[in-house]
Amino acid sequence: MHELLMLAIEGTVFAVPTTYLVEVLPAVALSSMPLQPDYISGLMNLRGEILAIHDMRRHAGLKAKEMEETDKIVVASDGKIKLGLLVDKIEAVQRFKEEQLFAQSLSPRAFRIIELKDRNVHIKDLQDYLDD
Amino acid sequence: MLEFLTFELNETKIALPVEAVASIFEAVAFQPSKIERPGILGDFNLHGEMIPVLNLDRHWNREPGAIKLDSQIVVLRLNDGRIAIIADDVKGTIKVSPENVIELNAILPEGALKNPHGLTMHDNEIYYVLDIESLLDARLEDLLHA
Repeated sequence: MHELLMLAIEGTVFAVPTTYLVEVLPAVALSSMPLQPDYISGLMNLRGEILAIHDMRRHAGLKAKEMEETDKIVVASDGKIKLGLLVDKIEAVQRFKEEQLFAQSLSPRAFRIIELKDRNVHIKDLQDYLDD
Repeated sequence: MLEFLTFELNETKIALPVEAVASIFEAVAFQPSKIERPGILGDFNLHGEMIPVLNLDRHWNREPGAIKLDSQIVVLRLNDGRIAIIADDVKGTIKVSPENVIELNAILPEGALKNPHGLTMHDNEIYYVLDIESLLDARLEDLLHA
């Protein structure tokens, strides 16, 4: 069984395995830093811990936009480091059987999976996620 | 404990080691550069010594903010000279324990632009900790001695 947090970025659905999930927060003003990579929205103080907040629009190849009050920050961790994912909307947590995900992967509108690796965010096609 | 001078520049909160700070001047008055020196705004006359004034925004490839009447000049002590930087608002000093200063590279993705500076937090504010040595790269060393 795969448990995924479904979220939306400009109407496109992505999913984060809940194994990465720490918490979901409303968007807050972020601190900027010099030489900030364009896929980083800024820095956030999470109860004394500094997190880099990734702009999922940029990771998804979409145009950046100003942060809105309705945006959400998904705090995720791969066990080594925590980071934040700035997204438009949280849909729901859904559980999928392997065969359901396989069927979904055949659809041209299949959602994609967000994974963490090397302190970075990687967006994978569902088929690649299942192959792994 | 480590002690830092804190100031704001173009909405970024910056901390630099107090031992690197020679002096702070309230009024910004410097002579604009007669020759083009990338990142250098001009020279600050400190008792006859001409000290290059560095624009950190340009150094970081950012659009520089406007220099205001109440901007301040922070003169930094170097191994073999001095350099000045513009601050929008010098806040004061903070003390933080060494373990509360983290390297930026520790939270940025592998392969991101290597950034020698650090981060720390005080009173729930995040500060960008300037690494003075790396700030003075080879290009700047040349400018200091130009």
